[in-house]
Amino acid sequence: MKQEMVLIVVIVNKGYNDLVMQAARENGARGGTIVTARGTGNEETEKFYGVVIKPDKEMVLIIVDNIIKDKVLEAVGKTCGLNTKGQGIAFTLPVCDTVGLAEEDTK
Amino acid sequence: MNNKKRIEKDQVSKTGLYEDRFVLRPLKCLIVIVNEHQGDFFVNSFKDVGVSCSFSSYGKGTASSDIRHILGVEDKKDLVLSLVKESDVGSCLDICRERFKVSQEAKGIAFTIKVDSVVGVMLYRFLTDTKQNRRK
Repeated sequence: MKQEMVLIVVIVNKGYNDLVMQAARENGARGGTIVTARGTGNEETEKFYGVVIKPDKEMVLIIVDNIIKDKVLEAVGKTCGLNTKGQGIAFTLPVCDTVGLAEEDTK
Repeated sequence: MNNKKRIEKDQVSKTGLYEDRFVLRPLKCLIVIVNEHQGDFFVNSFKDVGVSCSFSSYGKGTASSDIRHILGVEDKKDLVLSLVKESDVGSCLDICRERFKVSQEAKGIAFTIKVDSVVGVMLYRFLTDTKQNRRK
């Protein structure tokens, strides 16, 4: 059976990628890639709610199996969700074809 | 006279949505993640296949920082993002497959994501290299 993979994108404050990866690894993810980025929050909303959004961000890209997607997302949300210091946003995208991923040992 | 006629013709042909009148070729977003300095190869070889636009960026691997400290290595990565016609995706992935076999250093991963929409007909034609529109 063909495995269906998804790409999990997590955007967190700078320095929190270790926490994200730790949570992801504990739930079966293998590895990820970090891309540094800068966020652009809505200044007015920030003032209104008294939240300061740090502009320095890290984007963590993780490819996981569709089956464990929910578990990984949940764990990442718990450790680095919006209401934590990491102020993370996570979402998934369906992946069509993959090349170069280590063949799963579970076969 | 001729000019006037042409203008009228253009105006008639410009009614209706592009996607309703012409054959569309879907796009996919191809992302390749490889070790540092390996990205240029992909940008160049995708260009030869007929990919109009590739974008290369810098990234980091996620080996835990303790291990990295012990080994004294920074695992820097190149991330190549390109928009590819669905018909070209196969040949691009073949290029990746061949390249990943070359050596341990050249190993990496590649995957594609469906592109939902593109803004502007000109951009669509640029990305898919559509020189002549084909009517449905």
